[in-house]
Amino acid sequence: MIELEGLRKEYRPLRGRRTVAIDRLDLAVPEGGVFGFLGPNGAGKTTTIRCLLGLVAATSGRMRMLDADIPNALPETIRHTGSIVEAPAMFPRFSGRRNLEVLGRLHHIGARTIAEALETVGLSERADDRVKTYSLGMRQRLAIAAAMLKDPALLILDEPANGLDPAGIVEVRQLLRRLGREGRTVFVSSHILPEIQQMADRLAIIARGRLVATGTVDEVLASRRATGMIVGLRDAERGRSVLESEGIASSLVDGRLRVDVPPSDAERLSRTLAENDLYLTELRPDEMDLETVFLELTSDQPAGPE
Amino acid sequence: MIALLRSEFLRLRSRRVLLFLTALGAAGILVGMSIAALKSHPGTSQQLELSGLPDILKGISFILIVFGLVIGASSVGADWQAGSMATLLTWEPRRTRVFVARVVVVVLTVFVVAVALQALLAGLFLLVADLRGTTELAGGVGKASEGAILRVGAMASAGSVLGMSIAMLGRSSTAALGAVFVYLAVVENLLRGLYPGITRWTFAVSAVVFVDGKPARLFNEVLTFDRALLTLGVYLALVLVAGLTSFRVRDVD
Repeated sequence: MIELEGLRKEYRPLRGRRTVAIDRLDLAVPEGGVFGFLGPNGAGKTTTIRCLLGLVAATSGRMRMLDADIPNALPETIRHTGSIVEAPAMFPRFSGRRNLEVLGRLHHIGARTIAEALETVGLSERADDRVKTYSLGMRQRLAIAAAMLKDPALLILDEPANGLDPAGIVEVRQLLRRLGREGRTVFVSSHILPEIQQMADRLAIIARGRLVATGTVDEVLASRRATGMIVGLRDAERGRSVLESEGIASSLVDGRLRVDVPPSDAERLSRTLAENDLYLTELRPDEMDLETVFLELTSDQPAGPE
Repeated sequence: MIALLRSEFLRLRSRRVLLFLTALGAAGILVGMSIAALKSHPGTSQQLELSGLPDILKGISFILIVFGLVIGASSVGADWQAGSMATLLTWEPRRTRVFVARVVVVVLTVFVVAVALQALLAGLFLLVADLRGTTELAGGVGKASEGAILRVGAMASAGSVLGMSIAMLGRSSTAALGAVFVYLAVVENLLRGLYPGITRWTFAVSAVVFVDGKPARLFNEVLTFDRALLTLGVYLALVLVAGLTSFRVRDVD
């Protein structure tokens, strides 16, 4: 659905040093489902999205979207692509409805579709108020409504939960999940890791303009965790001795044992301990959460070329 | 392209600055003509004469050119300021089309509004002259007024092109208005003072000749209407190309 090969974007100011916002970024976003695009501030997420949407020109590299080369085929692909780029930008002195009408006319979208989109995002009652009276969350909802107007096959959303209250975040999450289940491709950038973990089928992490990990959430988590199990026992010290005599390495961590065996060896582990009258109070894989993986991956990156 | 033009027209006619300035212009004309009616005394030297209408129309041309300039500059500058240019380009990424559609819509709208306001002025002028002034010695005034109305309307549209193109370069309405006023009031005056021979090539003098509709004597030469038209055309073409090029090649951050 989206393919990037060697995408690079340099900014060359008239004065000062050139900066590399994206550095040979390769990325493949499959069709259907929610794809999370993670990275710390300044990693190049928004620049990547701007390149895809033709707002900034890539310095080099190849982009494909909806099976067509970008930017050449953008006028056609944009008809099937809904997007939010960074902060939702609408005319503050127009009403929410008028903003959508101005955009809708570009693709022959009628008043009924606009009313439905406003209803979907819960803005019907305030639709005729000026956007400048909206809260940030309401503006974000309006931007989501605008992105949905074209009934898009591909949604590219840059931080769509920005400014939303907790209830709004849950609603947006559910909406995006639903859209993903419907077969649409939802490409969503965010720095809110739990959101992506709960919502995305696959994800990519970038740092300093470079891809540092991609895959399903489990695959990305697995890429950074050592195989192991956490074992709780009343006598952890004796447990460690028993396992050592069986040739299984382990260490004491916060009163529990961290055992160097894969989760698939859980049965052997519990049997070995039970045969020595040691009964489990806890047994689970030693998992890292996405936040830890994210921080490790992004802090590992060397500085990008200047 | 039709869809884009319809969208641009809806955007422009929803803008309060257009509605406000148009209403302000109409109110100013009503007030002005009311005062003229009160001050006009038939049969005296203070009576309103219909034959003076073309000069009155040319006299208000400056206001209408500034109106065009403000509408043109704000139609682009407001988009950059609100960030909605990026939103628009995620719906229609062909920037040349966007630029051309906006120029067409703004130029036509400014022309129609400028002509409508002048028509209102001319209608009221005729009414007041008929009731409280004189319509004598007004032969040919209709044709002269029609010509003035169209030329002033065209010049107001030219002002809008100037405002739009420079706002596209600077991505700001204020910067565009400032740049135009500084150029016309300071740079051209300075150039005319230093190099009198350059006068015939200046925008302001060409605009005056165009609105007047007849040649003007400048020092020891004559600036014809056609030459003024050509000069204005070159200026507008240059700023249009510069604005479009800037819009096409610069990143939208």
